[in-house]
Amino acid sequence: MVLTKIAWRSIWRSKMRSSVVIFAIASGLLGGLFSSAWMNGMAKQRVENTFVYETGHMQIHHPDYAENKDVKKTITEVEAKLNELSDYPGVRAVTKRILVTGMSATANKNMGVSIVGVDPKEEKEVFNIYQRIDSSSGTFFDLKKKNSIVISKALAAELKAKLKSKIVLTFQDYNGEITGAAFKVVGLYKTDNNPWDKMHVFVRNEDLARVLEIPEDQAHEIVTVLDDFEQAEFMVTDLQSKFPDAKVEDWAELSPYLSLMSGYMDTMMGLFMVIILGALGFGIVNTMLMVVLERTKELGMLMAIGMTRKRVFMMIMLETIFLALVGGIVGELISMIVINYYNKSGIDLSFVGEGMESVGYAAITYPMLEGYRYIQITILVVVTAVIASIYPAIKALKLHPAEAIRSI
Amino acid sequence: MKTIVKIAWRNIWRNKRRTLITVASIMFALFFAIIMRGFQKGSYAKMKENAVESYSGYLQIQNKDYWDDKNINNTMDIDPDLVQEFREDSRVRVVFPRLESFALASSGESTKGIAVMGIDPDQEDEMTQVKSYLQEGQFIEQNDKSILVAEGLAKFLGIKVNDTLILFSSGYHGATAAGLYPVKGILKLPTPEMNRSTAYLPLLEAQNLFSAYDRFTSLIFDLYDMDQVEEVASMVSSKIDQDHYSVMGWQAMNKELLQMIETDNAGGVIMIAILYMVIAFGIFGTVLMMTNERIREFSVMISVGMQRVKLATVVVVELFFLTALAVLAGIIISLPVMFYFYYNPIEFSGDAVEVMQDFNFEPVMPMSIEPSIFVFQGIAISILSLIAMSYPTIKILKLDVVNGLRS
Repeated sequence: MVLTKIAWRSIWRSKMRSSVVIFAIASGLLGGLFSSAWMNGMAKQRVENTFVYETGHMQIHHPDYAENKDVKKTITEVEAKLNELSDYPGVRAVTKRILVTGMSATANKNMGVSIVGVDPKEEKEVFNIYQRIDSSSGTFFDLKKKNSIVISKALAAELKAKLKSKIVLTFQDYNGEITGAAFKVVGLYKTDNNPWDKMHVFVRNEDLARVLEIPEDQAHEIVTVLDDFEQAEFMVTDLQSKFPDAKVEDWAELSPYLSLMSGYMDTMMGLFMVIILGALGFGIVNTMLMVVLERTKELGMLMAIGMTRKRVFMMIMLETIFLALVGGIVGELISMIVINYYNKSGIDLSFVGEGMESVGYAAITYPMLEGYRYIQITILVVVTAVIASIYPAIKALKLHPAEAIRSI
Repeated sequence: MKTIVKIAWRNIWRNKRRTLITVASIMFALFFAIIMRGFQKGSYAKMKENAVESYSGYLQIQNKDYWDDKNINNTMDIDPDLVQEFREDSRVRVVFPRLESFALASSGESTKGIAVMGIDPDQEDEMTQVKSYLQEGQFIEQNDKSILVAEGLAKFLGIKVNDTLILFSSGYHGATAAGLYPVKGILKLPTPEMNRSTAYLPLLEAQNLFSAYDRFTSLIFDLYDMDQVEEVASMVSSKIDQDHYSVMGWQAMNKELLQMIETDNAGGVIMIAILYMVIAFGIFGTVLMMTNERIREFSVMISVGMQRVKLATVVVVELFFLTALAVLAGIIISLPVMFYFYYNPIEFSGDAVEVMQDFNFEPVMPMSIEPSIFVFQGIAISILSLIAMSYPTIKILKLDVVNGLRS
């Protein structure tokens, strides 16, 4: 108890020196935490976007569908499966899709696309593509017109198409014949993932089913969104046993890079933090060494009047830990304020937007950091301080009281 | 001055421990900064090189409408004599034509939209080394009526060498383009995106397929020296009819890639700036202690007649030595690591490959050994030290000697 008091007071005896260390730690943490939050926010956004625009939380296909997306590899008795799924606990919404790869053509040129046949009403419960159609760019099949199509702005630019343009889709039908039909553009969407946008067009599934000549009550894909996406992996097994004739996959299986990416980001953040703390460690060692050498006389005096070596050692340790803790807390508080501010306002990178969106990231990013990270960092800072204080504390131990008192 | 240098040099070794710790902390930061930048710059160089060498070339002549609207109607033909003239230019390595378009490829089982590249097999290989990507089968010859398929695409379509591939598209001025081609070979292309959706036909056959006789989408230039792109571009521009053709440089053709690199690079610079900020505090802390510890010493020196300016110079030279030592040490310890990775680039395996490919990165981390990396990092550290030096200088110039002696 007395030791803590002495240690605490010793820190504040030389304000300048302590402030330098505290600021070093605080600024190091601010930098590290803010960049971590930034990366983390980007990754989270990417994951969320993938869910709401691309994959949903869980998908069901024919077991061999993924191999080469053969039109014939369909799921049968779709309606029964949809009903069963929507009654399943934890499922928020479910929809079916008919999929085919083909070519989209205007008078201007042709491009390869994935054609997605959707049920507009259910689709809106599961995916948010419809929210990415601005007011001047039409709607997501609000009008009951036959052979309507929704394409992305990026693809429209390539094809030189606009609202009400005709687009001819060509693909192989269920019987292996090359077939096609003309569709009228009713909506133009834009997500943050440019390459994905160029690849995906949406039509009503009844229109696509008719041209494809696909049998009744069949579809290629059933997509489910859950109340909590993290429950997906626990539901797969049970659902798989319910539908033995199909393959049930959760989002982590569907896009392995999502879970990998968060892992990669975590590793990067961790590594960066360790490097920063390493650099801080050197600074702390240096400062504490000065502290010990500067106070040789004082420490000698303390030993001479009966303070045990163990206590001297502890005192130096405590001083270091206090310094680190003060620096740590100051740094984390500032980081929290800065991160929360930018979390609300977002960081706009639209000046490099094309580069970001070409790899599927939004141009406006929202840094965020979970609470437990702050606790992790605090522990790391203390550990660094303890390690950094060992050497100076040992130096203090080796002082001989008689000589130490005599020193200047 | 000689004396000053001598005194400074001896001064830093009077307190070996402090010198070593300071040097170590700067060295540590420098080491990380250099290695990190080395990996980053290495990856960028590789990406640029891949984009240029495997696809775009350094320069292209195109129909002036082609870039904004890449379709078969915006193709071009060009006077062969002019092409010959370009080929004879000493700065130009190869000039070759390409006809690129889009088609629906079907193996009967499955169908996919693909990029069809009509190439002159030998000339194309001179720049892109496309023959080295051959995995199985044989490479196409100029007069073949067969096709080469990228490995990812072959897997998707479920086809092997000698299987037949159906191509379906629209040709020049709305003609129907359809053809059956035996697969002569399978290529493993370096860029993931190309590997998923590219097929190569001999140029003549591609022109037949798309009814675009004697036409091509671009004339591609490979140069000996990247720095000569500008001058060659203006030379080419002056010789072509600007109303029909335009010259595109590699930077304009790879804009998205360059922007992505810039974004990533900015992230790297920010990280290093943070690291340096931490180090700056460390350096400043050291300087602060060093100064305060030696107030008495300085006071004695001044009272026995040393000029303040000289004394300040001594201290500045000390710090200069410290910084120089640290920078040297940092560079020396990073060199072996850099060279090791330069000759043995990290190759990712397992799941990481998929992530990298998803971002269209090759799953390798090459290392750059550009001297500019060292120079820049060295300069950055020196600037930090310079700022730190101002403290003892001011302190010495304003020192109250009487009180200083008593401390």
